[in-house]
Amino acid sequence: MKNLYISLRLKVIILLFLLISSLTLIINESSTSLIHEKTREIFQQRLELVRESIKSYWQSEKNQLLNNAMLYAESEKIINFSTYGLNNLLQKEIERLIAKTGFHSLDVTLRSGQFISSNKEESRTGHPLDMNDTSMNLSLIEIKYDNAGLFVTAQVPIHKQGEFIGRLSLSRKLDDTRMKRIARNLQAEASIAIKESIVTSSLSDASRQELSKEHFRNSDRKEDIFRVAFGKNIYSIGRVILEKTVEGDPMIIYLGVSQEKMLSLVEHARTQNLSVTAWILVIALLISIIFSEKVLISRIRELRDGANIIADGDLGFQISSFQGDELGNLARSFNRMASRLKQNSDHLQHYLERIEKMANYIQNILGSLRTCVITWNLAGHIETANQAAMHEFSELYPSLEGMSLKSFLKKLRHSSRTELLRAWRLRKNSGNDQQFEIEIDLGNRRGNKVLQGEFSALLDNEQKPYGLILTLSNITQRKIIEQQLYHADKLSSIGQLAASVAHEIKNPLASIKTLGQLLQEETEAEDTRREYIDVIVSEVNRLNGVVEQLLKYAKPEGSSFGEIEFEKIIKPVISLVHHESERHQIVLSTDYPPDLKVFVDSEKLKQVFLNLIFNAIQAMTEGGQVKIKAFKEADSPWTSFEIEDTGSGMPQETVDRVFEPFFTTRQRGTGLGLAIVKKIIDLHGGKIEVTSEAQKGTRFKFYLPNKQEG
Amino acid sequence: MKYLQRTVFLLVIACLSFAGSVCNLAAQTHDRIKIISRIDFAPPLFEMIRKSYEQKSGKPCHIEFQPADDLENLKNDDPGILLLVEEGINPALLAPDYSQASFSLELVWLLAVRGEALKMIDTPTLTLEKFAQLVAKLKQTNPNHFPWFEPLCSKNTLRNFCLLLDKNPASTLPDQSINKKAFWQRSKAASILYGAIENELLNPFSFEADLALAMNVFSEADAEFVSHWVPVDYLQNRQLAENEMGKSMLMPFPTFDGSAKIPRMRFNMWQPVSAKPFTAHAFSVTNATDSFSFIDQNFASESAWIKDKYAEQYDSMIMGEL
Repeated sequence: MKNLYISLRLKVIILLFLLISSLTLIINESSTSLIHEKTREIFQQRLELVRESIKSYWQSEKNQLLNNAMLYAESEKIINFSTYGLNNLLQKEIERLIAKTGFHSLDVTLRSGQFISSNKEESRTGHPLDMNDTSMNLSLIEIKYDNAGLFVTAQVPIHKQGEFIGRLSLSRKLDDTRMKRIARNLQAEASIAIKESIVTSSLSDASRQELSKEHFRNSDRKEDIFRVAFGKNIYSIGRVILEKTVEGDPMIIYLGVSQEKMLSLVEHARTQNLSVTAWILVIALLISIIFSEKVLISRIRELRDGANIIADGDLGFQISSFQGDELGNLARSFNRMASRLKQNSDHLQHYLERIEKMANYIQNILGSLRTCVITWNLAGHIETANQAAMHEFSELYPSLEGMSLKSFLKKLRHSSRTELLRAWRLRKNSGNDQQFEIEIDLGNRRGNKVLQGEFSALLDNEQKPYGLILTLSNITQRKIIEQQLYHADKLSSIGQLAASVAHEIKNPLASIKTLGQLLQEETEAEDTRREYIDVIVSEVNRLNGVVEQLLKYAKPEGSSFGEIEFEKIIKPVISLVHHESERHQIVLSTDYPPDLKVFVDSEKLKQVFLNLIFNAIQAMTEGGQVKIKAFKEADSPWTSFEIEDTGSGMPQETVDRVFEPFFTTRQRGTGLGLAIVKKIIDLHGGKIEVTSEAQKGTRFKFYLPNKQEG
Repeated sequence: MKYLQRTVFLLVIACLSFAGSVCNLAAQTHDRIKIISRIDFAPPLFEMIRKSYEQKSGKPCHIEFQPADDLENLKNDDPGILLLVEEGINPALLAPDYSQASFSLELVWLLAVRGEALKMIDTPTLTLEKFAQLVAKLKQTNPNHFPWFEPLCSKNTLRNFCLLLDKNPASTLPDQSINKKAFWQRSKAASILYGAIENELLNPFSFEADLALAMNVFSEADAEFVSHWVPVDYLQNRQLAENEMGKSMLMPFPTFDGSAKIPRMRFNMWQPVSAKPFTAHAFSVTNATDSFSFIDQNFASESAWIKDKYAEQYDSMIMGEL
């Protein structure tokens, strides 16, 4: 089963929320129970208090009644009216006094026995009071229960200036209204039972009946506390015996405190607790979120971000703030890990740099090698090829890497292909090396390229065969040099031979010339032999010139290099060939920078230009143009010179041999002009090229090194 | 909220003002009368005067009272009110721009009788002796009861007794032996009253009683005889007394010789000069008849007596010494 992803934050929030909510619920339940218990206790205490209160209340009721009675008894009008027999006024005054007081009756019994009551119909004349009865002067309170109801009466004497004139009694009826008032004051239902019945009560009729049953049922009427259900409502009842009536019956007061209020209080407390709990839960949720964010998630996020930063390569990152807890330890470990990674990375980087340097070094070596290095795997595919290889095979293949042996061989000549394959098999099968040469046709009359190579074994780290290394060296130049050496050797022999012949010829020629000139002097101009003698002298002079040139080629004069303006070289040459070019209707044009300076042997360079320009003029029988150009390319160590004509051009065979001594295509040429040119340029350390195209012309281009600074 | 409260408050004030205006308007339809006198008027007496006035003037009225004990301090702050001024008081002291209207009110001092006593009286006047017998008989019938009650705390009452009973023409005994006589035989009013109290015929509480209490005692039937002031028409019309005081009758207070001498006090109506002339029926002075005569009270002399003699007489009445 795939693991369900739940974020750590959610887990922490849920965990904290569950923890706090559990605690809150437990506390809530505990507090509710406690409140319940305490409320019950308080209720019990309250009932006890009410029981105590009713006693003091009852006492204060009696005191109040007594005080009122005494106040009335001290009223001037009461006293005067009583004293002076103004009974009707007394009646009226009593009625006035008692009106709206809540007292049941106010009676005055005069010494004469006259009884005046606030209930007028009860006023009557009775027996005179017994003045010997000392109790007449006493104040007292008595409780009387009869058919009219339950009354509490205060009786006080009335005195006029110390003389007893009668008694005043003030009664209060303890009826339901009064009980309700008591109930309101005590905040407890109050009922009074005398004998077997509830005589007055603040309770409803139904509840009163229930209480009556309880009162009747319970014959042991001691002061205690019990519970009675009045309908759905349960009351805690406290029973108190207040005092006795005049008849001697105990007056029991039942005080009921409805538990409904208590239960409602408990319910209210529970509701309030639940409300508080709900709020706490909401706050707990918020705290969980904030806690998880502030204490955990933000720090984990910091760690994560740190890990990402490190993953992105910033191994120097360190978590800056951490506290002394597990996450702090984790942060420290993280920092330690980052430091270690940094160290390892630095080492690795160091090694990588070294490897890279090494690789670059090898690459540079391979790239710098003029030898082609191609590695093959055992499957016959090229894995790497260095710069030289790519350069050498660029004419055949745009890219070498990945090429199969078959594809590689495809474009080679048959003979080359055979040789390479043979060497491959030999190395692969027997482990023997065999050198071979392959020839690549460059086409477009560019000749061939000759590469010499061999296969060697390529081993892996465990020294097991991995593939083959093919090394190829371009030996085309060597081949050419070998040919040139061969040719130069031949030229050198010819030159030396010619020089020795010329040396041997020169002296006899001098004799011949001297003798011929003597013959000229001695022979008349009209003499027919004279023409022959002139020819002899002339031809001897020509031979002498050839010999001179031959000697010049074989034994050049000493060099005198110096920096000189090119113009000073070319101008005399142009002046020299000026007549000849005009004669051949050839236009000479020059193109060079006016400040161009060259570091040359000026006399020899004049010879070069002279020879090349004469050659060009002589190549154009029907006029044409000779362009002389000199320029120095920027950043090039060479100064370039070009002499181009618009003559008929030369075949390739002629071009190939044009610098050979005594090679000439003219009947009267010595074949030494261009050989001397090449000799002088070689003497300058330069090189000369010739290109020619039939019917278009020939161009000689040579390069001379610039002056080396320092 | 405050605005609402203020609005409600203003509305209430406006309503009250309106109601006040209406009441004031209604009050304006009543005559407002201020009685200025030296006697201590009681509410029942005011009621009698009001009814008399309304009967004569045909207009309802409100009656106020201003005692005239100190003439120098008499002052009328209400210029529109009608004044009933005891004759002898200079009304200029009260209101300079008042003129006397053609209306006057007379009060007479009579003995009110009720209860069992009514059955015993068969003549319009009584001698003091006869009266003494009557009260003694009543006392005998109900020993715990005082049949006679007087507002002796009222200065004017004592003065009236002095006017009527201060000289017993039949008395020949020297003054020092008067205490040995029956009270009705004594020659001084104070002595007579003291004797009546001593014989428990006159309620001793009379010493402390004013006119109001006395009239209350009578109206509550705690005494059969009480003397007090009534409008003169109560003298002429017995029904008025019955209407006002229940089954009762008014008669001149008994004298030594049984002659009917009735103390009388006159009040003249004064009205503002700017007011329209008073339209009530003119009151003519009640004339004495054969059956009775009046003792007109003179403000100046009565005031002087009260000032000079009252305390002495009162003390004598209490102490029984003359």
